[in-house]
Amino acid sequence: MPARGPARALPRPRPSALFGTDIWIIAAAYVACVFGLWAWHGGVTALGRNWLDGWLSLSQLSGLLSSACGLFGVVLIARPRTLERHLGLDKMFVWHRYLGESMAVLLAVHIASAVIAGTADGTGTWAVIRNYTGRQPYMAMATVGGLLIFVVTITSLKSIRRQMSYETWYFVHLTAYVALAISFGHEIVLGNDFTDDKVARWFWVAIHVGVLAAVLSGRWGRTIMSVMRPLRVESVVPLGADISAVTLGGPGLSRLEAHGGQFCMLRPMRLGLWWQSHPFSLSAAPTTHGLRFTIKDRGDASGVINRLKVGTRVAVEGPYGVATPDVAVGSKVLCIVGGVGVAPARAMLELLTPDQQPIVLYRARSKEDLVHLDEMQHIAKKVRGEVLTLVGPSVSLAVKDPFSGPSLLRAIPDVAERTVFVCGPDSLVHAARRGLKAAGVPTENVHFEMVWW
Amino acid sequence: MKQQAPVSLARRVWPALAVAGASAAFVSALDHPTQFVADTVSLTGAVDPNTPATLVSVPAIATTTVPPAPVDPGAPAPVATVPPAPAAAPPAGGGACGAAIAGPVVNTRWGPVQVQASLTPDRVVCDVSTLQTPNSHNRSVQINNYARPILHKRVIAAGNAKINGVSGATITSRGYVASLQYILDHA
Repeated sequence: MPARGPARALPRPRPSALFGTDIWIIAAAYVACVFGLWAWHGGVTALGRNWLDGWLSLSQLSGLLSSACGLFGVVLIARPRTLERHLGLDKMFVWHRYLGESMAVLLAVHIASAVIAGTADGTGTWAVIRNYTGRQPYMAMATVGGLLIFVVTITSLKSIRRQMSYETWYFVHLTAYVALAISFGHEIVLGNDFTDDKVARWFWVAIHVGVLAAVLSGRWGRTIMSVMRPLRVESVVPLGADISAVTLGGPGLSRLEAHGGQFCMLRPMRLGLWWQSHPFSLSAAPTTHGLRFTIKDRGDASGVINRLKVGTRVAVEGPYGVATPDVAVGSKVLCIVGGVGVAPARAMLELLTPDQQPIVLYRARSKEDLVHLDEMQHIAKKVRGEVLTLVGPSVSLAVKDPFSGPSLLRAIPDVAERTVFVCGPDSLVHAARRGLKAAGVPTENVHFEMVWW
Repeated sequence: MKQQAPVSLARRVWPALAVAGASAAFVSALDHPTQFVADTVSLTGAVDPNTPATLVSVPAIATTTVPPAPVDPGAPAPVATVPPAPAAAPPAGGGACGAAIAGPVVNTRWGPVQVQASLTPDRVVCDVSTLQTPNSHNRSVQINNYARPILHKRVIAAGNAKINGVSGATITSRGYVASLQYILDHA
């Protein structure tokens, strides 16, 4: 290992100067533009005029709004840096899901009302469907685009998503880009709002070009950057049967800004693994000596990543996430963690101050699963903190429901004054959020990372 | 310690490739745009409320299919088809075509439609042309340029206004028929 000076903290990610709450204003303005476009071209009066015009107008509106949802969803997933710094990637993913679902529903309304309007003059339903699926220009592409959107939405329903591996689902999900692209033609050529209104047409084209630019720079640009300046595995320390601490370092570190509590997407640049990237939390304060991740073998690529050879190149995207000590400045801190979810709490603990009196509530299935416990107890002493552990299957615990409001209050009387970070499996996150609410912790003081795959 | 065999990319990516391939196949199978389809549509559906009241009384237009205008463009006598009226005498080749009569302007949702027609003494339409069709929208112009000759062919073939409209140009067809029917009723 090369000789190096003392570890210095990496620069922290700066808060976004461009977007704050104003992102909602921009979103609202765009939706208002879409409504305005529709109303300007007579959409409102047409709605009540007669059967044919009413359905046509509804079809127009639902089509425009469906497109707006789709474009916003794509912008979120392109994760513009400024937006991510404000919302946090996990919340952006949640919004992406809502927008995707709304898009599919609006699309169904769009199609159904267009068909009803088409049959209003007595044309048979079958003839209308044939017109709309290929006889009119660009409609074959739009039809297939619509089908793709439904495929993508259905495969993302939780019950169906669970049946597939992450990568299978992900690659199918990518076809949504194709769907948006091939649906564009019918909007411009057949959309009543665009065929005759030059300004509206250019507005529409400009919006799409902007979104494309966001995707290219945000999504692809970031991946290319991470691959061009990868980090290298500096050490792999096994912590248990299926869990290791992997430290990444190298000259690529100099371009990173990172903070404890954040996570990165790791893409091992090795045959058979280069095409997948997985999210892992930093498990130590990020310094010029490297980024440490604590990785548990969850039966997928994580089982390979936590056994990588020293020197393997790893492309690092991120870090992402807003649940960092920055949101707890001047407040006492409680971390509720389960299993390998301890990683961000461990990283954060190092960065807290004695006046924050951090308490870590550490839930694990067995003693062997309590990784980093010694480290944390050591750090806790320095920051006047405490690490409480809860080990064993639920039935063997002395307290029936350790995360219920009363139990939390008994264990931590000042819980309501604390800023709380929760990280762990879904069940733990839900139980903890319920309990914290019951114990009187304001919702805005509870920070959690959703594990989305 | 169990050793993980990395899953191959092919195994993960094939469902997406299958979806994409099926999409491409669908597009190429479905995509045969006819600018606006020469299908017939019945015009007996909802009556456009924008049609002036005097014209709403246009009698219900027959929905029986008219043979799709088998008029040979080279044939000198366009009035080749026997009109459906039972007593209609076969118009003689020299059947005098009267002077053009302008029909009323019918205001449709997309704009005014007006036709002029010439009738034989037997009140068979022997010539028809449009004086105006909706032109305030680029798309209307496109549609009407396409629909006008078809409507013309159908009217000449039928000899009256009992024709099916042109799919994709329903609104114009309706106005066209209404204006023509008015001429037939009042001439």
